[in-house]
Amino acid sequence: MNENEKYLLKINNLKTYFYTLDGIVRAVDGVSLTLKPGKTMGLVGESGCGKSVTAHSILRLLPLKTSQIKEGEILFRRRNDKEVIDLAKINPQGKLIRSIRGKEIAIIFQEPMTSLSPVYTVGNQIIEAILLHRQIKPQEAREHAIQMLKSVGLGMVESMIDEYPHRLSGGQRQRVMIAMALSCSPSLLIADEPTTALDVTIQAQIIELLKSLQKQFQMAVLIITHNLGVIAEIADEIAVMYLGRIVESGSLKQVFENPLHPYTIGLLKSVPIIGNQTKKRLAPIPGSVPDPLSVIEGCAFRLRCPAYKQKECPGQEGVAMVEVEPEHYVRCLLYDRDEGVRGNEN
Amino acid sequence: MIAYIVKRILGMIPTLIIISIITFIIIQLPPGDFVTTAQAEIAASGGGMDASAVEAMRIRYGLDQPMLVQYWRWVSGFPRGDFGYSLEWSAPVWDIIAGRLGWTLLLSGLALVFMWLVSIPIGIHSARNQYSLGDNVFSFLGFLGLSVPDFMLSLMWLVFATMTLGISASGLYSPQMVDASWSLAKFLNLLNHLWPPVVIMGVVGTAELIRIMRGNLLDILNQQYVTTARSKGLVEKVVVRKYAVRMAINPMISVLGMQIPKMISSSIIVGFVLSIPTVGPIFLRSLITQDMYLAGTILLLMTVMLLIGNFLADIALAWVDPRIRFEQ
Amino acid sequence: MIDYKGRSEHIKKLYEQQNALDESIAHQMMSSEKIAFATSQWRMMWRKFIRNRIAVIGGTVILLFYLTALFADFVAPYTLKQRMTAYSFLSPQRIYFFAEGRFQPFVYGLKGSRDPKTLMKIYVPDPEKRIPIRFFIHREPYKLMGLFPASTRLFGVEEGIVSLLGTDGQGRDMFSRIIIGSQISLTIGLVGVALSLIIGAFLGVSSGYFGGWVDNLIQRVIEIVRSFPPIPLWMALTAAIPPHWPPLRVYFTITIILSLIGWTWLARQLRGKVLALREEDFIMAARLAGASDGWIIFRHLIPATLSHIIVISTLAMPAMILAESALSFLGLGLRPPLTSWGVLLKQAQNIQVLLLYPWLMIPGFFVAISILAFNFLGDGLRDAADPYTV
Repeated sequence: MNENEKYLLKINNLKTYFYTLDGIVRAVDGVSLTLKPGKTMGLVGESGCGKSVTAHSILRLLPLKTSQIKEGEILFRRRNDKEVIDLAKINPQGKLIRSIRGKEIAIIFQEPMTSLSPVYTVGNQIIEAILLHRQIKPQEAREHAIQMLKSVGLGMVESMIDEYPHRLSGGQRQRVMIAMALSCSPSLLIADEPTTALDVTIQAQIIELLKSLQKQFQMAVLIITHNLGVIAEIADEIAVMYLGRIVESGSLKQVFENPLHPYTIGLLKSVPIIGNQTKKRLAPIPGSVPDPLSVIEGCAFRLRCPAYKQKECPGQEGVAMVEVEPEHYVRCLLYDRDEGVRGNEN
Repeated sequence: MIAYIVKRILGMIPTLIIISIITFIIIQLPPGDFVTTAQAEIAASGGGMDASAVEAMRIRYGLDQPMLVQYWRWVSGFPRGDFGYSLEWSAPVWDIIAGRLGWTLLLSGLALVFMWLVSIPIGIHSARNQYSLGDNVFSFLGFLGLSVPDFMLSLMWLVFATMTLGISASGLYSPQMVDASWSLAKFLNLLNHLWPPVVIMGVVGTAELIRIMRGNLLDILNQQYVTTARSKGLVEKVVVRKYAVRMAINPMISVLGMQIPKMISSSIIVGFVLSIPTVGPIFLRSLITQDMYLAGTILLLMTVMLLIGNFLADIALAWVDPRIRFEQ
Repeated sequence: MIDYKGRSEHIKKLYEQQNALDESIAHQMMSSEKIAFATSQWRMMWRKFIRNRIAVIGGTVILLFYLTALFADFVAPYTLKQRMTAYSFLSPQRIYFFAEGRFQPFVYGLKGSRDPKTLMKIYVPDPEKRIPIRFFIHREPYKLMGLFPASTRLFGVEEGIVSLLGTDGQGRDMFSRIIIGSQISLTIGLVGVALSLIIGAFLGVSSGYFGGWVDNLIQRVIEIVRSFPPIPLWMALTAAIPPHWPPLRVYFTITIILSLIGWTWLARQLRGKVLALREEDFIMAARLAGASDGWIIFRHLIPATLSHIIVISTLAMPAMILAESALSFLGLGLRPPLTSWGVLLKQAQNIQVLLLYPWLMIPGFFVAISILAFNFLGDGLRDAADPYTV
């Protein structure tokens, strides 16, 4: 990795654990990611692999009593370009994180139906976000809010701004969320499963909207999803997560054309293809994601991996990230036997 | 909003009519009537009445008429504020009960206010500091409050206040103040006698409200919109107040409304033990003597108080929750 | 550099070779699911319940109370009506457990007199006179549970008196009366809740399941019943009981009156549950399989709501016990010779007497404790039955 390239957000070996009555859940267990300014990173994985927790960890939105960032750094380069702060170390309720939330890093969530409070108008909630970070008059804030609503493709904005959320459809609410998130022009937008709860046609619209807004606002996007189709549409780079760890990362082209990790290959093969290959049998990944309370030594995927089952891989030793081709990393023993170049993450 | 209010009021009218009929029937349930009881009491003190005198009494009180007529006589006076005539006290019913209903209303109302003011801060504290010492202590006190009956608390207070504190605990005023003219001292004395019954009445409801507030708030704090608010960069205090508590208030209004019947009932019992002039003792007597218009009116008006209370709670809820306000 | 492209292709082939219906895969999936099925709903509820210590304490107390009520005549040293006028208004006696280092419970004999100023009775323990407490002593005969004649009592004294909770104005032992009175207080709750449940379950489930005009009608009825403040309504209804009725008939009438008001809460609760369940897929599946309404109600809905029914029944008990106590306290409920805790408390109505002899209030504590225990128990059951709390 070229150290001179300026990154926007660099996560180093992040470990976020949850402490429950039944045991410790190692939701994020050593994740390293680099987000570049203006680029889109897609974070892919099945439910429960820790992608959402990673996103919430960046903005320190996790419940304070039951969770903890055990280890790791979240280095964020602020807009003034002079300072880089470690978000993992700062006070989760303090002034610093609050000045970053909404202003420099914004997040939109999966469920538009419950993301907005039902007892305040749409306008009230957007204007609140604006006034938090900008010293302008309420009237100007309202104008700005109207502009934002227009830019996300909503119609009849002057009346919608005084509506209550329950009067809007799911797609409309998600657009409002996006408008609210972008109202202070953040340099990073985190989108946590933004289209999962929406109809397919609306999904496409939202993805197009995000793409055009990214160009317009020149911001980086971290999009989290389990939908490979969405990733293919919007991501420049992709990271695949399994059970709290990144198992493969690289550019979109690299990973899609040459998937390396058995999990990635399995995921890509699980997507049914409509066309002349209909006679081919689907090759699903057997089994399901293991209990999050369990601690698995060595390669966590081996229980479902065909290579392990065919005894082609021992799967026991601790596995490190390997750079197979420039910028394309994989965490798999099958690529580690020879003198593969080791990456600087472990 | 106005349409909602009007709709609710119109909906209450048939309910009121049915309630007045049921009330009348209930009052008539004991065998015999006022004259029979009067006869029994006269007989108990050694006198007697001959049949014609009994009959004359019946006719005088209009008790010889069929039920429907008696009912109509009663109901038709309502629009004029005429609730009938008390046979025992020989006075219009309204004159007898107006003041006492006022005390019932006052005590119930103050108890509701007490409940609201106490339970919300404690509920918020308990939810935000779950399983802390304060939370456990309040939970336990809450359970206690729920479980000790109001008549028991009243008795305990009476004994404690009189024996241990040596203060006057029953009635509205201390003995020396009863006939005194109105003054600040007398007013304070009144307050001193009012707060124990209000607190006793409020304790049960407070316990319930705290538990519900705590439970609701715990749920709400996990909701997505609270996280969204936090992610915008809001101060935690504002997140809790503006987004969480505000949402938790809505169901609390309903629960508060549900306390109203309990408060009305409780005012009777607590008033009985602590000698506050609520309608309780008079109601009891009128039931036994079959003083039907008196008994019927008291029961009816208490029911009406309940209905109005529920109505106000519904209006408050609609005002506070836009989802209900805009429902078709 | 390794041949990553080759490795990648190789792994793809491995996937294709895998038979999705591979025995081992199917086996693997099945065995992990089998573990989930091994624990039935009831066992899970029990395990969760046991962890809740407060609820277990509540349950134990309730069990203790009911057992004592069952064997009331055995546990109580005296009968309900036994008057020992020489010892009227006696305060609770102190029991000493050790005499000369040995375990031998006893009480002191008492010398009674009257305070000349207040006319209050005063009892002075006589240190010379030690009356040992005997266990399994033979005293007045009784019929255990109304059926088996017996005369052994748990404890008692041969002479003098052992009064753990004091006596009333007629020299009747409060402890015995509270124990025996618990029979009525606790069973009114049971019978009342059972009746309420029958009415409430029938109407609530019908209301939720059938919807439409049935629901509207029943909801209206519930609304009207709930419009009346409970205590005045009970007062009015119980005032209608003629004074000359035999005690047993009074008992049952009062129980019926209490359940006539109480069913509305149960009906509402069950209606809510049924409304939620009605839309579930398993009901739809049953209907599609051709099940009749009755079948669905009795074979699907009721078992699905059974845990909820148990919870709300437990939570409804305190209200019944409270209602009976309050009514009897006011003089409107049960009357002597029927004795319940509420009836015992009626004596406490006389403030002057109460101030002098405050132990007459003690039955109220028993009411409070049983309500508290039921609330703990009901709460614990509710948490155990709720699949969403940890």
